[in-house]
Amino acid sequence: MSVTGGSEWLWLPHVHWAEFIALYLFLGGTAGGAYVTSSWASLMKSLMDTDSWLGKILLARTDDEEHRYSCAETARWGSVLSVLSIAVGGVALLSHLGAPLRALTFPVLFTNFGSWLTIGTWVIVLFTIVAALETLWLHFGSAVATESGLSLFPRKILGRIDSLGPWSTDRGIVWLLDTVADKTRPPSRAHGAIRLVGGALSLLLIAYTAMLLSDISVVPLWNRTYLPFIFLLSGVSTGISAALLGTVASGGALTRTNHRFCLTDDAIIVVELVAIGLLVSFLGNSSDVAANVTETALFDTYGLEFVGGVLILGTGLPVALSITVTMLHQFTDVGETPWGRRLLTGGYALKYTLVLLGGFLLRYVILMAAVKTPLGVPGL
Amino acid sequence: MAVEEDHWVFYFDPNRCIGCHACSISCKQFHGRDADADDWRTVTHHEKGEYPEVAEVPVSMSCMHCHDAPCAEVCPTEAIEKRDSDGIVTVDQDACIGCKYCGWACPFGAPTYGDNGLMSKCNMCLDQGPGSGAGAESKNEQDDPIQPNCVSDCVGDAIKAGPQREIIKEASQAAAERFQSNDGRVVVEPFRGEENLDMVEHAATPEHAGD
Repeated sequence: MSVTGGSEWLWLPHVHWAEFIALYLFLGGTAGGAYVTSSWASLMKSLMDTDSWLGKILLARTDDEEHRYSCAETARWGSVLSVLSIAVGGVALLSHLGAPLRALTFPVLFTNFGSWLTIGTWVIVLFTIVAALETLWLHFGSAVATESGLSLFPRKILGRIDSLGPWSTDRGIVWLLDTVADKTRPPSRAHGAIRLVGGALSLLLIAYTAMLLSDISVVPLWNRTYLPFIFLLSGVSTGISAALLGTVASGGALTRTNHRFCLTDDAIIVVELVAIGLLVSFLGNSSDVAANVTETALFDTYGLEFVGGVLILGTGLPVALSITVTMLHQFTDVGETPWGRRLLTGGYALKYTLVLLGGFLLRYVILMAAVKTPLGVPGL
Repeated sequence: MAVEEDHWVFYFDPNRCIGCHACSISCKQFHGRDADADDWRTVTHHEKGEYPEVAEVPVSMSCMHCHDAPCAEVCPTEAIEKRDSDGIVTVDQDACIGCKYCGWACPFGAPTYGDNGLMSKCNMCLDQGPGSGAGAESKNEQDDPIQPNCVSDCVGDAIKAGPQREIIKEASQAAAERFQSNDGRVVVEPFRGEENLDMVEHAATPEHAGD
């Protein structure tokens, strides 16, 4: 235990979590946000497919094939990225533990249901099951076999493995997954209900990463009032960005799907910036000396990451970029020329990439700039 | 199940501490910990005043075996236990996953993590070595409870340990009041300055007893 003396305050050690946990918090939030994005895109697509009155109100048009394609791509990208994110995040989390293999026995070992780590573990498990099923149903099955799109890369990779393997390609991994998907795919209403459950688990997954931190009352930066709200907004924003970055790569940058998600993302980022501002204001006005030291750490020690990475590159610039690209797209004829389309596509891709970078740096700074409330030395 | 007043607590008097580090060295030696391992008991030095009127306040600190034990509250596996029998907080390393959540939750920075990544900390010398003490006999059931080594090796009687009802009798009124108002975690005497280094006015008087 290393502690720092020398003044009226006794400062406590606090660097217990670093890059790997920041990565896990980021990927956990992104996984939840990507699933929500996937479910929303699936809902829009189903409204178009059924040509319902609700679809006409919400979408204005239900005959836009580009929109339909982008919705399908966004839904697939969102689901597969949610699974990949939580898988990589899970590995990052386990690699940080002192006894990772022991943690895998969580159904038996994790008995304290008052701990957010136990609650979070079960949320992760349930979320992963729902997200994996959604990915299976969106990427496999006889109906999907004839579709095309970059988001179907899991089929292509597994198809490639099938062609290299000693088994028959007619009875390979893709065939097996197609069969399982067809046999397990629920009816439309039941599928919608599962997506609702998945959506609730997604939001819980994002929020839990903040509840885990804000349960620590001796760290002013991990404030229970602001942090869950900030993480929730950031998680949904990075999830939208991850899924729509895929849609942009699939050629859907100039579709109404991307346009709408991009504007939604912008609105979320603006609210997130306000919430971050409120947290910083709280730190500045707090009587806790650790809060004041944290504020200094945010703008000094971690100024490059917080101001440069989170506030400018990760939130401010993406919104400015989004507005600029949207204005060019909607109110000029830039999108009519090949180079103009490339320019707009690149603009959207850059925006989403920056949001993802900002989302990671936000978690990194929230961990690294955290300062524990020091102990008052008796008599000083 | 023992009542809270039978739970063991630490007492520290900075007026009696000479900052010699005997407590932290004896702790490390008793538990067979490497010289470069993190200390379960630390001694820090704090200055008061400005030259030439400077006084130094040494602070010896370890796990305080808090009544509310925030580390145990967040532990997912319940490897950390606040024992009902004597109030000592122990860790069962066979159940610890090394998540370091307790390290964040502890208001005193007590949990340390060794090369195996698992948590270890002061166990009031219930037993020797990291992870020991879980399941050990209650101090309150021992005929002649063994004092923690930091207590027995302190040259100035600055550190004491024992059931709360006994320790609080030795505390000044100010220390007892602060103990009651600060979640009942540790009894610390206020620093009175150089003039009181040799003679501390304790409040072990009938009217203050049991405060």
